Amino acid sequence: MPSEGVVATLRAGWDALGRVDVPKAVIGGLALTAWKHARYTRDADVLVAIDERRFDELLAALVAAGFRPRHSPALRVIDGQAIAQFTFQPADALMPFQFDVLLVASDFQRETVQRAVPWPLAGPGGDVLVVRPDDLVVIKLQAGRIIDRADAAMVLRENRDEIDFQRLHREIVRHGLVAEYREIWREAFPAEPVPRIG
Amino acid sequence: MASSQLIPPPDQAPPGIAHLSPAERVRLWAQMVDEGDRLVFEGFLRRHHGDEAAARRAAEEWLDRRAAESLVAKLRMLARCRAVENHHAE
Repeated sequence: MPSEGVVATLRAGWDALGRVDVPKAVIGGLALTAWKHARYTRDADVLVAIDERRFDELLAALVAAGFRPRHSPALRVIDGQAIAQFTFQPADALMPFQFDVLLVASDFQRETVQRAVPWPLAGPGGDVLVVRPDDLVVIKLQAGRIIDRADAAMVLRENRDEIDFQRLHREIVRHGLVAEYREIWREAFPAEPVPRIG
Repeated sequence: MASSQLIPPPDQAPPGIAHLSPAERVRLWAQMVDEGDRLVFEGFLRRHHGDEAAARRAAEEWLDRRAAESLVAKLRMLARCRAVENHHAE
């Protein structure tokens, strides 16, 4: 019987964050899976719209739920960007899982959290919220690794009917990601011309 | 760049999961992670000739490296986003 430890980790982390009343959305492996691209990724990441000064509330809730900060102090702030990495060991999982909390750093990310949609996740805590596919494409292109660009291409291909292309193209231009977008469009739809944007 | 360097072309791609229910998709992901973890851990066990304690240490080091790599990618994502908005605000 599989442990489904990654789900247990996300469930426990989401529920712990729920004890602090802040907007939040899942952006890691669950978001990829929700938008029809399941692959081996252990990422359980949540984007949280909270002021850095309130981070201690999140930290206390996560520690109480069994999450262990990877760093001391828990919140890493580099060039104004704040992220906290935790580990969590589900009861019957082979290895611990990582749970990352990313603090919203821009208006785009704040909107991304606001636009997130409910997604059922096993456990008594009810639905979680996952970012929409158009926002996930932008996030993946910003991350910029080959694996992120491949993810973006698959999300684009698999979610044509769900993507808000007007918003996607606007954000692609605004974030200077036109070249990257052209690349993933060719990957997603090789028989079709790349849309003219920017 | 030529096409199909990141993902398989549509006619060669593995079957999609659009037909699965939300719960089935989540279960599939969880099972992929469990199976992947099992393969990774068995690889460490073989490398360390069945020494489970050594395999666990190797797995922890592997997880630490992955955490460091993902930290860089996530900080890059956050930084790019903020830089764009700062630029537009100027």
